[in-house]
Amino acid sequence: MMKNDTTMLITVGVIFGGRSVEHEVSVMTGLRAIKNLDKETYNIVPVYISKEGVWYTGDALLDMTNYKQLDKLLADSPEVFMTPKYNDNTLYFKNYPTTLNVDILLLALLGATGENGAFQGFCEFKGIPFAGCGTLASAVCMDKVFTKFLLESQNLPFVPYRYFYDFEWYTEQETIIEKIKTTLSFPVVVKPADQGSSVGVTKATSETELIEAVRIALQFTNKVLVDKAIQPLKEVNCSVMGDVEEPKPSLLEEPKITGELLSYHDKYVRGVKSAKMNVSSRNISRANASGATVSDWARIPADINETLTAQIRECAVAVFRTMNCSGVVRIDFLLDVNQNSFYVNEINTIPSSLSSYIWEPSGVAFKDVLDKLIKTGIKRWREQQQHVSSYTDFNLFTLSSFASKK
Amino acid sequence: MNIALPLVMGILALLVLTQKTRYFAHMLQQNAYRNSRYIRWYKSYRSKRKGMYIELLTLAVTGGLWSYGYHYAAVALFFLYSIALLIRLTYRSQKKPLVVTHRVKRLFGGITIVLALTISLVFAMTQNVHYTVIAALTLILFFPLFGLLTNTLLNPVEKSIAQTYIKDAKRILSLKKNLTIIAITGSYGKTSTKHFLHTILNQQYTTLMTPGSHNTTMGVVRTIRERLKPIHEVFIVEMGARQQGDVKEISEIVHQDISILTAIGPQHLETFKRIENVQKGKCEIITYAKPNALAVLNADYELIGDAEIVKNKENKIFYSLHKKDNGWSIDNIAYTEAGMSFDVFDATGAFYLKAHTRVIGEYNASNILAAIVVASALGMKKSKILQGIQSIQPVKYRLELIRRKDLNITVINDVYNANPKGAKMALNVLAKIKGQKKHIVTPGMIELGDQQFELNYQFGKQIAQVCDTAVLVGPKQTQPIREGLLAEGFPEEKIISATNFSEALTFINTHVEPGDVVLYENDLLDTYNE
Repeated sequence: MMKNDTTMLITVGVIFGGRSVEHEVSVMTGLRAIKNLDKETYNIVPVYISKEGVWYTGDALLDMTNYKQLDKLLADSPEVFMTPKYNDNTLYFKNYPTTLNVDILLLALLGATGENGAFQGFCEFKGIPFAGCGTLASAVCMDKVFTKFLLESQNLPFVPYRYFYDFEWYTEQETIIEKIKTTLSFPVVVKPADQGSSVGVTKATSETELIEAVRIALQFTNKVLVDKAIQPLKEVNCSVMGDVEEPKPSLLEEPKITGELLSYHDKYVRGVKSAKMNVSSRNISRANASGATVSDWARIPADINETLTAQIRECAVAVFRTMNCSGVVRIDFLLDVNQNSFYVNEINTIPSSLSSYIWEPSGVAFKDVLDKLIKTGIKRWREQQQHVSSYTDFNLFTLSSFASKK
Repeated sequence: MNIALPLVMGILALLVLTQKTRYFAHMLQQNAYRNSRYIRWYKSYRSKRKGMYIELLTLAVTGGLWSYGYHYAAVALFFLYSIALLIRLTYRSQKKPLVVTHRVKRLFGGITIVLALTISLVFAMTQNVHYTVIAALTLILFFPLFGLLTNTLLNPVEKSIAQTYIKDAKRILSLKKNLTIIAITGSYGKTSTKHFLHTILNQQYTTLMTPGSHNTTMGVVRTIRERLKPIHEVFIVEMGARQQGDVKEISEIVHQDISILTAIGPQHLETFKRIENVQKGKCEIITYAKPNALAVLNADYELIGDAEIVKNKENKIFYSLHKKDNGWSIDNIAYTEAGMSFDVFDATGAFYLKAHTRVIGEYNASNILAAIVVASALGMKKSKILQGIQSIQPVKYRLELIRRKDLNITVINDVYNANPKGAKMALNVLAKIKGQKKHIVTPGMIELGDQQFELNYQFGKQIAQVCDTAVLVGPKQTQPIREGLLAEGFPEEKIISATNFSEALTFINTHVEPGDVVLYENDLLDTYNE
């Protein structure tokens, strides 16, 4: 077996792409991370997961322009895989008798199974250290309804809501609409409950629009969330870095482009596909973020008063702890400008560009964000290692014979 | 005479030799592949085993029968012998089975070649099947001799292979930036200290320790080559020392930044010969560390404080179970149902922290203190150190406190311990712990050189002070303990003699009453229980 004998640097496998609508944003995020990782400390192995779910590595993946000719890129990049075997940190090459050893994985897999705990579960199962939120945090943050359950249990603010499953909608549609009308009142925002991106999110101002919005949402999921629309609205985001022991909030970001709350009309007229393009445009800006352009689409720090800023940052830390987050997350808040009140809207456990564009004005260079992300991943792995230790040298089957003779 | 009979003899001899080789390799492995240690073990083993004389007699008779032409009788007898040997070697108790390493494979190969050559040579020279059969029987009889010869012949090969591995380990360490290496040695407590230190440091640093009893040069080399990863920040190396030069050899590979010396006492006197040599051997950990490395030293051992090298050492921190002028110390050790608590004072004498831990025994408090000293020297936060102390797991079989709910008794499992100080401490805990009757199960201590009798006798006397029942495993071996017990007026009917551990356990399981406390003290490796 080939070992990374030439180096005792920590080898970071940066994983990006994946089977998600945010595939492209994920690639941009991964490549930016690779570019900014400290090469003095880390040895980097890029791992691209195609939209088909096939893994590739190789230097050709490092150049974003190569992705325009995807077929050629994938032909040039060797296919690799990992096994589910515990403690096997090896990246195996499919067509060559070569392997690479990886010390830690940095997940830049935005959306779907890369962000909802599935991939994190794979990592925990095989015992490989990885940077970012663990399985549980990833899963509960991905499902907006579960997020609300947990926020409610800790008296943290959330937008009033109702949720239902598809079969309920098909059988008790009128009752559900009635309840939404009485408890939330229009306008409302209809979302798929368990989708990471803003895909399928539609604003509805009437019963007809609601029905259509639910139809759109049900294309993406079987569990629909209906939020009361906050008006007049301001969006503010806060990134939190570290772990539950030492969480650190960033400055607040105030996006200038509002892409998320497209009205039913916009979507209906322009179609779901173009809506998809539209809602990810903000994430693409984020993933491309460089100092010069950030001011075009975001205001950092946000234009709100100090008291509210402090409250929101404090709340962000509380949310981070409640969800047992780790690494770098971005927590999105909705502000009711008149009431001076705020609500937790959603938690992104793998935020686009790993929120580097918020951290840079907050005084933390991307390189250091990545460093913290990796260190936190190793710390969590170390703690888990300590907790699973006692069963290996003990075989229950030998117990009855203990008293006789070993 | 047809060829069938010698053929049958040959096949049987092959079977016997294979079994013998396997057994020899196993025992040689347990004696660290050292001929001298094997021979010493063999002598003590021979004196205990009457079966050996039967074996000698059987082989001699077989040889005689064959020489005088009673071939069928010889084959029959040899067949019975082979079966008996096979049964005995297959069903012997094995606490630490043979690990088939590459080295064992080479040894197997070497022995096969030596045996094949010898037999071929005899046959070539005599051209006589009968002589060859007799030669094969002789080989079986003097088997260990051929094994040792092979081991000696293989020595240069093993050395050069070892050198290649050592070089590779050094290369890996040279590539590794920002790795703090901590070495631990001592007559007692080094394994516990290693575990405690690992748990505490791991709260803040990704820490690797040499696993299990991989405390020889090759064990350390193997750990570096197979387990040391780029993510590790601290590497804890346990250094075993059975003779002078052992610690030096490992230190010259790892060049530790911190050396911990836990104790110097009369351990492994059979190899060290004199206590002064033990002192020299252990102090190699200071001499061969990195220049100006920190030394963390147990002040409770005069042999440590009195050593020239320690006196001349500049960068050092002492620690002790008792308040001293300089150095870290412990006070107010108390035992609770959950374990042990004690206060720690730093080098200035100021209160540092209160430790609560599940492990018990004064010496464990001392071992934890050593770990605290190192953690603090590395700049760890006190809150993290406290968290680490709480996380410490009892080392299996070393003063391990176990509640046996089925019998409603408390068990102190200390079967890994094999030294007088440790045994005394275990008795001390047994005396202080709450409980009805106190029982001990022990086969006594070994490898104590010319003090073997005296120390076991003293152990017997100490048991008499604490225990209500003493279950002695191995009547002959535990004779000194019995005498010690009786000298203190311990009632003879309370001394229970057992031939093996399972017999002792059966006695305990049927005779204890709720609320009792049982101490399992000392167990012996396979080689000594034969």
